[in-house]
Amino acid sequence: MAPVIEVTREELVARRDAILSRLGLTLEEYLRRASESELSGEEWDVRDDLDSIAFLLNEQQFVD
Amino acid sequence: MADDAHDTAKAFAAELTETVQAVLPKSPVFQAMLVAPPHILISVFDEQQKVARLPLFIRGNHVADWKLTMSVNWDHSGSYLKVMRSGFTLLTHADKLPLVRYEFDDNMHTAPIAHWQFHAERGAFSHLLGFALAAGKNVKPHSLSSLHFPVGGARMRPGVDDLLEFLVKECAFDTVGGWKGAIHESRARYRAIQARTIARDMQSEVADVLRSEGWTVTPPQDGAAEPGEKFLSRW
Repeated sequence: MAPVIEVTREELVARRDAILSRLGLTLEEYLRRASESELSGEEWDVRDDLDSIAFLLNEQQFVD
Repeated sequence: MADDAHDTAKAFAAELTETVQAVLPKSPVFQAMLVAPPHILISVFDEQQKVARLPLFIRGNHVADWKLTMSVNWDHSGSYLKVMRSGFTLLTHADKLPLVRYEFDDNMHTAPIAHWQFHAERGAFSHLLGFALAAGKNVKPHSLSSLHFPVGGARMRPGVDDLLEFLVKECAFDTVGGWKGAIHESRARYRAIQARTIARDMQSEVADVLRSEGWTVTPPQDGAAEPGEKFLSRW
């Protein structure tokens, strides 16, 4: 397994879109559910991925 | 992608791998995910490049998992990598909700910069928070995990070594022989870095202590730097 994985911003955005599509939520809906402590198990399962993508994209809005 | 970012991220991940593999059995290799301009995520990734669960064993049985992420970036001087965010999660196989989480976010503005959150239920606590909700306060009585328990801010926060020792001593997960030495070495490295950073933030205080211990300390010609406001004020 490669010690370093290089990704593009486009790949990260596409990955986030795919995660949210599987959940049937927009990013805003996901973040609102998180802020209200309403995430389900399935939604928690992708939380680290969504947070990590946000960091890599240099965004400022994270979960909780 | 700059070679130095690539190499530094690789070294960061390798050091973390060495520590974790010296403590917990069957621990995988940590990797660095990079995007340009350099933003770096250190974790273990699965085949879909999702943040992976890492196995935890009791008497050889795989009974739980944990996750560890570290989001790092160059400091403002551009000379070294700084951990901007980190996350630790303990999970069982019973469901996908976390048991406990430790998180650090250097840019946190509302919750404590470093904190634990407990995904648990306690009726008496919910009852207590209900009074605050009835008084119009912004609380969530139904969710104990909405509370952030502070752990000393950016400089006093636990390191990876403390999280590993929590898994070993408090949760009793299986270890690799010699784990104590690995944790000791990791902790000594981490706390030495934190001590140096605190000294940089609190130069006059440190100088006073050194003088009281017999050192001769001469301030720089342009005067000591102002106390680190962030260190003194942020929770």
